[in-house]
Amino acid sequence: MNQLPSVAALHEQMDRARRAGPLMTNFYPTQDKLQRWIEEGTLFSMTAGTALFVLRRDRDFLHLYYMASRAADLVPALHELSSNETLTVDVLGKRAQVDEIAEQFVNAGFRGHCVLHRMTMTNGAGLAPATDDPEVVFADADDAAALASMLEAALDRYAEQIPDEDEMKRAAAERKVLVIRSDAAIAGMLFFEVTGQSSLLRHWLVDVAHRDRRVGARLMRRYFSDCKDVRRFTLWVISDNDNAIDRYRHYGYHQDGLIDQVLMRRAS
Amino acid sequence: MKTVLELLKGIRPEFDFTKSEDFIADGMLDSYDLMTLISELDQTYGISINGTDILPENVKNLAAITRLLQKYGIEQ
Repeated sequence: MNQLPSVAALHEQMDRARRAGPLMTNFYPTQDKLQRWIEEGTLFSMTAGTALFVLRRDRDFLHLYYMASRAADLVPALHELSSNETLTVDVLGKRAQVDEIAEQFVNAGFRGHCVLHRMTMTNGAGLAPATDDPEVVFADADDAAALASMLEAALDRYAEQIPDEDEMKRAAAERKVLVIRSDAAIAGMLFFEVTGQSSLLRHWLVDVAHRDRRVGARLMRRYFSDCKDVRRFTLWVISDNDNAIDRYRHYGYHQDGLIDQVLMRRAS
Repeated sequence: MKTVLELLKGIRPEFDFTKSEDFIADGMLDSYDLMTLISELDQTYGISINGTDILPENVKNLAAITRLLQKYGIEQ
């Protein structure tokens, strides 16, 4: 496993992997994320046969990304990965495609961890009229530690792409995080990203002590109000989180058929 | 054989791709959609686009995709 020195080096390795045939992959980073991971020194690669693995350090485990021309090529390659590290892999696609690839990971010692569903809204059904709720404000950099800690405590770090304090600082500076405060504490937060006509709802969380007080609804109302030019809203939700799924449906989101099967192999 | 515009509409039917100069900046294609598009261009036109060509600037609008296909001998 070698640290990736540059985006160009990664593209060269992807080129070699693609020469074996059409590529199956779960590696879809945006250019800015890719550049940042490389600058942080958290991105590694490993070639095994015709398969290319890219690994990203996150806390005490590694996210595994694969590039291979055939699902069956993955099993022998996966056995070459060190068993000293806990690995997680996200297999994205429609159900049938995902099952075929996930089976290869199970054959190499991975176990299903959870499934996430993508939910999308394109018709603006949940859009709220403009709101001037003065208690819904953008987070500032001083909130970053508390926000990161709140997310870390409530979410599944292996599956939910939890931002660390640095990412929350950047997000706050870029006005991507709405909060409602209660005294000095954060009662609820909503972290979103907007790209042109699309918006991804990264995280929406209300502190346990402040639930059933419409904190979450007020955050959502402000989010939709601020995103009136957005035509496509998306989010990812864990498949057995019925409460959250019901709430998202209430706002007009629906499951669009894309799933993320998260598998995991713990360090031995 | 499907045109590039038909492929794009198949991926994201809610957007009008003829009215954008930058599908990525305009939020019409995300990174997953880009890989889906590359895969569909490969399959539809029987080519294998190099990893070094899988760059946002090569698929950011219809003209860029046309130029990319021309590089692989495909005329729209």
